[in-house]
Amino acid sequence: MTVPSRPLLHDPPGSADAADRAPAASALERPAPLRGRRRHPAVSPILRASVPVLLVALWWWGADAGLVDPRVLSSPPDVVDALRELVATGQLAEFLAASFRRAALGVALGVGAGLVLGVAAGLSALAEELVDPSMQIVRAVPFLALVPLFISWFGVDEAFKVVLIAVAAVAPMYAYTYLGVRSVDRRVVEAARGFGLRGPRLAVGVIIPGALPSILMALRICMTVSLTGLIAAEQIGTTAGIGYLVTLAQQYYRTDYMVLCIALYAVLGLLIDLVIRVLERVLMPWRGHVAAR
Amino acid sequence: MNPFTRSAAALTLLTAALALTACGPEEESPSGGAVIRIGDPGNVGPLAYAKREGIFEDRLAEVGATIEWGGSYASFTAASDALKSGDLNVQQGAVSPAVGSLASTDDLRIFIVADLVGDPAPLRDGLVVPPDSDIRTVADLKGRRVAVNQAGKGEYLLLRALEAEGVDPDEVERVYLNPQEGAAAFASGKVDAWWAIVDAYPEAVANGARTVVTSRDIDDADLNVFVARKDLLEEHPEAAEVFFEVLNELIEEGRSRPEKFQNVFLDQGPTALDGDRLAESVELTRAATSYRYPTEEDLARIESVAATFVDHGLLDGPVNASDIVFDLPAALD
Repeated sequence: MTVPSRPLLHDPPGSADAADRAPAASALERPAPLRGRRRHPAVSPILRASVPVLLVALWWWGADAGLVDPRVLSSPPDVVDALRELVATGQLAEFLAASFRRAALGVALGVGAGLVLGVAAGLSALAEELVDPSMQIVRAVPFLALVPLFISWFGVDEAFKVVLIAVAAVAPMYAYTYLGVRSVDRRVVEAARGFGLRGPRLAVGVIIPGALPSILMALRICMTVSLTGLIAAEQIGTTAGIGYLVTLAQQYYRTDYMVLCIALYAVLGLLIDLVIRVLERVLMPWRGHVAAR
Repeated sequence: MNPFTRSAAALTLLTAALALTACGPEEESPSGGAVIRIGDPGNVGPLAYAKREGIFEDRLAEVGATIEWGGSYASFTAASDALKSGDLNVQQGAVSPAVGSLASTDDLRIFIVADLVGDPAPLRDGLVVPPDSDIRTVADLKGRRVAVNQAGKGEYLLLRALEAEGVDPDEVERVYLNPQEGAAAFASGKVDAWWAIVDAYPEAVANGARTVVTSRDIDDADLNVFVARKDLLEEHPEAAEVFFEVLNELIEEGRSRPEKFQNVFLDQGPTALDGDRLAESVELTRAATSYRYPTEEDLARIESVAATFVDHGLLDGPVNASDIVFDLPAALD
């Protein structure tokens, strides 16, 4: 046990030195609520941006000073030029639209299937026994390993690309939905049953809203994983898409476009994050923005 | 959004995707004629020009056939999956990368061939080493790491060069990399030498690489070829014949006016050529060779290329050229 460093509030009775009491009592702190340090609201965004900006500045300086071989890494102005070219030819919009369509279809399929299976497995012991082992197997298989097989099943066109992304999305969606459903407050479910809610209405009205934090987390993962799927799927059988752009950059030995692809993926990743944050606010208004630091 | 709307939207998309899955490639157009399915021709060359101008569409219509331009493939090897699945049914290449696919399936046939471009056209391949390398001859490769594309032109040429010098290929470590990966591995010094092919070769030379030997220094039997699916050739030889005629007309036009076949769709962006690359592409178009039906001599050359792979255990059994070549004139009679 540690010895309290502060003086005790009540000295043992019969303490000889009564004169020490008054200053000791004044050293006590008044209980205060947890409160963040006050600082200007602009400080946080500046701090957040500082490290990426510093890295870009370092890259720029390195390229300008000739420390970085342009064959290994293009300079920022070259990458901006590449972006300008891509916008001017209309290819950026075309590529983004093509990839968005594939990713949206694939994610919708995967998320739909994952959601249904996850809710079923979370609610019913029988469904869990039937579905869970297979889904764990699907989850264990890296989806990129399925590419050759899927090509022979679905060809190299759109169907293959959509199915690949769907398979990539189904496993995380299932796992998080299942966990989310299992952690829904049983008392709320009992209460809803008491009011006569059954089957799909119970699932849609009570259980899915209860599991929504997990489901939105899964959606974020699904959307991120769809980017990986796009890069793999768009290597063949297409002339448009942000994954195709990587192949194109490689094929024509253009490091500026290779770096541009990375920047594009970073921006898309941030956009996905933003979409999920907005969805969280819209779909879960009851969750305040609680952050204890 | 209300949860019911959300599930309904998901269900709609699911149905749409299933409908999409059901649409496989079809062999015949709605009118009953042939459909030639070929990969995207990119931004340069007679096929790109023909795609932009709709030349094949017009000419094939005369025999009731159509053409569909598919996805983009960096090489014959990259396109071989699509050829096997039927998403493509015609593909350009050379004997060396194609012979493996041709020997492993009965669905594909070579139907027209052309000689490789020779002097004075720009070189399209070469064994390159870093400028300060001590490798001066093919014999110096013993015990070194050499990047080649697996069972493709690079590996074929390396084996031929080693054979000619009497070097056992097992004494050279072959690192299998496609041309794009090879460029990165070579630039960063991860391999001692690299047989760079097609666009990778001039790119490597422009970046300071030194050439040790090229295909023109060795006995290269390779040919440029067009490969098609057997079902297309058997059922619609007339469509293949029109394709062949139009192709040669375009190649001839390119020889006299090569500039019009450059930067066909875009003059900026990653596929656009400028400077030295544009000048070289113009020279290649000017030097392009015409296609012909395979002759007896061509069959012997195809077997010679295949034999190089068979001798080194990269292909099983001898390849009989007449098994992988289609006799288009006979089918037209």
